[in-house]
Amino acid sequence: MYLSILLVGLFSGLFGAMIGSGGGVFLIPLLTLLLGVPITEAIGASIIAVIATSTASAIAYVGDELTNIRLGMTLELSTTIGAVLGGVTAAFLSKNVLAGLFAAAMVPTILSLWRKKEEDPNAVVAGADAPKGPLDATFYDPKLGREVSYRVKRLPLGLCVSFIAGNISGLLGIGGGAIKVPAMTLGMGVPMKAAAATSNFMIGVTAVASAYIYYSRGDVHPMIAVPTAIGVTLGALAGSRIGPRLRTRSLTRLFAGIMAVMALQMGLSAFGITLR
Amino acid sequence: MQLTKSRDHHVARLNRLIQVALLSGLVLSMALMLIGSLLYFLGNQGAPAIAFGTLFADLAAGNPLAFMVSGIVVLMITPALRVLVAALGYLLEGDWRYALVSLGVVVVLAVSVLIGAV
Repeated sequence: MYLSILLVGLFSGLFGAMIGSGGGVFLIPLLTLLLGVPITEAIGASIIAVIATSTASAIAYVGDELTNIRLGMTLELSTTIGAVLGGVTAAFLSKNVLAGLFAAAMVPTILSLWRKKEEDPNAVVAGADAPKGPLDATFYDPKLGREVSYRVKRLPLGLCVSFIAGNISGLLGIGGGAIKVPAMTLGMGVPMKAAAATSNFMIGVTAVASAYIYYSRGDVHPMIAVPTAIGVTLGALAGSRIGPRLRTRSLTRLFAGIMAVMALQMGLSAFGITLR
Repeated sequence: MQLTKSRDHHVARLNRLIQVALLSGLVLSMALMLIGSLLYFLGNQGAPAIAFGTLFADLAAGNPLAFMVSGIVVLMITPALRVLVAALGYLLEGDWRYALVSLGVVVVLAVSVLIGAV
């Protein structure tokens, strides 16, 4: 069991990093559908893995000074409260309801993967605003070859979206970056790179907020969480190296297809129907 | 100009401190998890479940689960430590607003531990 969980973790981390999302969307369906791990323990293991990968990539990000810690910390106030409430709520939901919610939460990720265009480094026009408030920041973008400054707009909107993202994270054990990053880039005027780094910083802290609750409830089983965390971390490290070169449209579509099948299976399992 | 220079300097120093905290936490946690896994495969598979009260005794006894649990606990503490370091950094800078914000996050995390303990 340990080795099969390690393998599932490896692939989840690898695939997650290759398509530029966390491993949770692969990990939890694979653990529950393939290995028969109870969904609450799969979520507990996923939260631990999320902390590990978020910490690992945060180390690289801090050096780049892309992470806007002031902004992340401010949004973290509402995200952690959302995560704690989500973690508490999960205890009152049946496993079937959790599986159904997870299947539903996979749909937006699948759709955005399917529609994802080839990455264009110049797609995000960096704001030319000089920093003014304490949340505004500047970072050096090696690809553009110059410093990028931005002003943070619509903080209340960011706080609301962060609360929802935290809630989903605490409830389903996924990072929630797929919600936070668009909110920051489209809603708050934060450049893509800074938004991704800041979201990554937040995901680790958010996961911790619900991890304590899952842990004390006994849903962080060492024999499941440890191979998951080791596997996902190693897989994500490998995936972040080979990922950018392999991230083609057909590959992301293939992953979107696999995820759609898993979402369907999880959705059906919510109604007690299992297809193996 | 002088002001932004000194703020940048503080930010850079704070970032380095945070980086060291994150790296040590991750390495220590992964090492503990790997040791636990190795011990498990070296045959100590029938080890009993462990409790926090006897964690150090279990570690000394080479209980694989004790190592795994310690690795998980270290990992769960690491991001919280990062928030604490940031809070301290803002306090030292005299940036009361963000020191308060960071401490607010610490309070939420503390509440989540308390909720878990109930």
